[in-house]
Amino acid sequence: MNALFDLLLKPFQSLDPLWGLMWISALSGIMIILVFKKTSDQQAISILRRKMGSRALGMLLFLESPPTVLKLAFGLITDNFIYLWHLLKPMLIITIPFVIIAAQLDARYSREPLNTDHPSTVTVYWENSIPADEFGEPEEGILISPIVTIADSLEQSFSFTGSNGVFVYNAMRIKLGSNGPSGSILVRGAERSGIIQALFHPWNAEAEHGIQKIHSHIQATHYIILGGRWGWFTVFLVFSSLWAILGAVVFKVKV
Amino acid sequence: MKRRDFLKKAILTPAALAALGAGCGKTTGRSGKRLIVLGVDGMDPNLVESYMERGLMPNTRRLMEMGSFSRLGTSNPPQSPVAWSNFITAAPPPVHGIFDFIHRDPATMMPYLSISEVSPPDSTLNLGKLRLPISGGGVNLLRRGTPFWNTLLDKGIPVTMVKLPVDFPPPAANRHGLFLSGLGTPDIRGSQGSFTFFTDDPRSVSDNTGGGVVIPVRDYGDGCYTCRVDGPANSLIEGNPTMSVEIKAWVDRDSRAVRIDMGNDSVVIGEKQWSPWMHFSFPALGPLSTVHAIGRFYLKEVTPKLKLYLTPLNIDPENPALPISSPDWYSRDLAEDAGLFYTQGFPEDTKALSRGIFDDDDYLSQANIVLEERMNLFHSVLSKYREGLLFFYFTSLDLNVHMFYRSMDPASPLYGTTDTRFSGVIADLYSRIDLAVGEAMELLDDRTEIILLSDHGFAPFRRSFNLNSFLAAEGFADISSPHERNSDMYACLDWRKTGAYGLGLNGLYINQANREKNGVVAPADKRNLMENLKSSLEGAVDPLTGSRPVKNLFILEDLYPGFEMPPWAPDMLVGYSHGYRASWETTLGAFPEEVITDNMDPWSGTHCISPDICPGSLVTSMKNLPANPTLTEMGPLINAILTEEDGVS
Repeated sequence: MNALFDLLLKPFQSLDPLWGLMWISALSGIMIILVFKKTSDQQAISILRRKMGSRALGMLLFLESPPTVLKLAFGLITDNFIYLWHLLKPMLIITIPFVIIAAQLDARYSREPLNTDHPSTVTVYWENSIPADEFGEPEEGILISPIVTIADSLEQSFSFTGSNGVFVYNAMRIKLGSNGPSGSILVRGAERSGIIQALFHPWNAEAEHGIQKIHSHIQATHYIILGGRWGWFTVFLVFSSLWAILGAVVFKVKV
Repeated sequence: MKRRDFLKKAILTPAALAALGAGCGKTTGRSGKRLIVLGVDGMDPNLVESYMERGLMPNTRRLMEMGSFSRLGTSNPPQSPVAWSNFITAAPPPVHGIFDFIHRDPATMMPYLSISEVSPPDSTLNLGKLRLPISGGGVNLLRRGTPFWNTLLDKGIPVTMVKLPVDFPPPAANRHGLFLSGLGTPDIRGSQGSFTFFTDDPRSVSDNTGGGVVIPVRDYGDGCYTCRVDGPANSLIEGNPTMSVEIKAWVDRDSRAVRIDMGNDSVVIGEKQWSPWMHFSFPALGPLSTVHAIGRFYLKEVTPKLKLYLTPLNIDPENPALPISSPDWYSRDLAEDAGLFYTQGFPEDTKALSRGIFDDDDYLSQANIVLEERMNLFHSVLSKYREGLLFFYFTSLDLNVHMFYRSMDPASPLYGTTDTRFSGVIADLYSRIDLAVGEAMELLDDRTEIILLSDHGFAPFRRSFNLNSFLAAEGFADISSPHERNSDMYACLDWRKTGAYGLGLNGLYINQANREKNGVVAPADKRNLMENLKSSLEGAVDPLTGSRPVKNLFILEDLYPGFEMPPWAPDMLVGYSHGYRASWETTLGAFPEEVITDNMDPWSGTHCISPDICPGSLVTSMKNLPANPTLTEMGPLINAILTEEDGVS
């Protein structure tokens, strides 16, 4: 899945992260609305919407007749349930790509890249014992702090950071131990100088045998839009919704 | 990405068009004159000449050869808040009201910082223990007078003032102005910088640690120290309890490192390493109101004792709890672009060095961080500068020369004990400032000028003059409780028999009847007393060196004839001679036994002396400047340069 999205998102990697995210959001919004069109009963929704509109109008016209208004209101509520039923199938179908896209974007656009100002900290929880030997040498261009070992809770922690302002890497593997319990952490990343492009997969830390779990802390990023600090998900939600609405108008999708 | 970049690019993106509207029209798009003013606190003209001669300041030399170099008349007293206020208002202290770092309220005799004050709300809504402010209260700038740049703003000329001294809180937002407060900006606790030092070393705990707090901590055998970090007082709760957060420091004595856990954040640092800026959140009213701050940890030592230093908690420029910029988004923009930075006015922790928490290496590593951050800010600001006035302030020279003057002064009592490794520290600092000059000079063209100026120069601080002790010895003050001589705030004095007292670094006050709380000197007798004090102080002799510690005693009404003095103004200013300065004890009203002592504090350079000894520096890209220029003339000069041929009405 990662490889597929690496390929799909390749055109956006050269963009500034905010603009990449906005364009991905735009395409996602269009895609979602087209999927909705394909998977929904457009004719039924259209009829239903007209029917609901007429019931609402009827309520306004017959205000002096409570029994009629009640009857129309009941009909409107029923139509609403039917409308939701019509939405259910396309929404269920849309949810699947939406979740996948969101997870991929979270991994790529939610974190700060490695830089000298914000070290990332990793804590490894060993299952039974802490290996006697030290961590393996990190790749060039990465500074790693001393390793703090907390023997009682079988924890080892370290922070790592880029060794200079420009930090470009594709994958970094830090080896943990070699005798008995061992494992490695793989962190993938791609960053261009001076840009907050963080293709950083925190959940790509690979726990191998001997390691109970790994916790990594990587600073979250945010985007400045009109003076406000927006999380990646807000950017995605706002711009994909805007484009979905626009797409619905352009492609005449009944929602 | 910055807002302006966003707005530019938004035009190209249909999706973003919907988000446009609010921020359009920020740039004027006019072509106009440009003036870059680099304000370098404490840049001494003698040292500049010397370093230019030695080839350490090639850019400054080039600027001088292109334009001019001269000494710049400073304020009296030559203290930074006074001098920069002279610069800002183009007027002397009676106009702007700043006479010293410290003023006193004559009605209560309590000292206070002269630059700004925090006032409590006038009225509150009390709900149980809650105290919700209804009206009044806030932070007030105590500097009066009209800033020179108002003329430029009125004409629509852009003004950018970065780290401007004596400008906290910043002025009201103006569409042509960008302001970031500098000297005078407090830390989150409201002080001018209060560090926290966690240790299980009892010797550190018992030290005198003014300027910070030492928190004793303990390892109960699991390698974990629980440390409480105090934040500001919570004014929303009855009794103003201190807000605090807890951190855990896990030590590994074998690897000589510590893992610091705070909330969801975590960082590992080794001995002699600094953490990055870490975010501290103090909930004042649950999730409804949170005070944000930033701080950096420094692991001085893990074993045999833990010594973990935390910088003063700075106002977070991304989420400022107090106004530090105008418009308020400006500090956030700068932080986004240049990274988080010290927002407090005195970023170098000189107090930690003076109190022995830092050694010279620790201090320099911290001072380097400050200078690097300042340079990053400078790069960021310079890259966005298009027109109008750009003022950028550097504090590093001043504070570091204060602390390392001893390294180049063989007559300093501390010269022999200062490692020779530090003999080049000051020259290196001047060289680094010269790099900033070179960077600014890259922008020079036919519509751009540069002014490099400082508020004062420097002189050695070898001998401490206990002004109050001198007054007592000469009969101008009477000590009724000798055992309290070393207590602050005149605890030992009999005010009924006291005619004069010293406070602050240069201030000398008459204990005047109907003004001071316990005043006894009748206004009719005041002049005579001041004349006596002048002859007595100017005639004083240091028995060790045979020199006169006081070069001039200035009587304010003679210095500024025709001005009405505010009640907080001193009556006289002590102009100390080369090598002398008021003792630290004098500044807060103590009376040590000896009148003159060796200065054994690393704070070994000074400028709080007679102003003719320590003029500032002025290097410009322009020739034909007025002869004998002074700081007060710089504002009108800047206005004249920028309004000439600007063609903007």
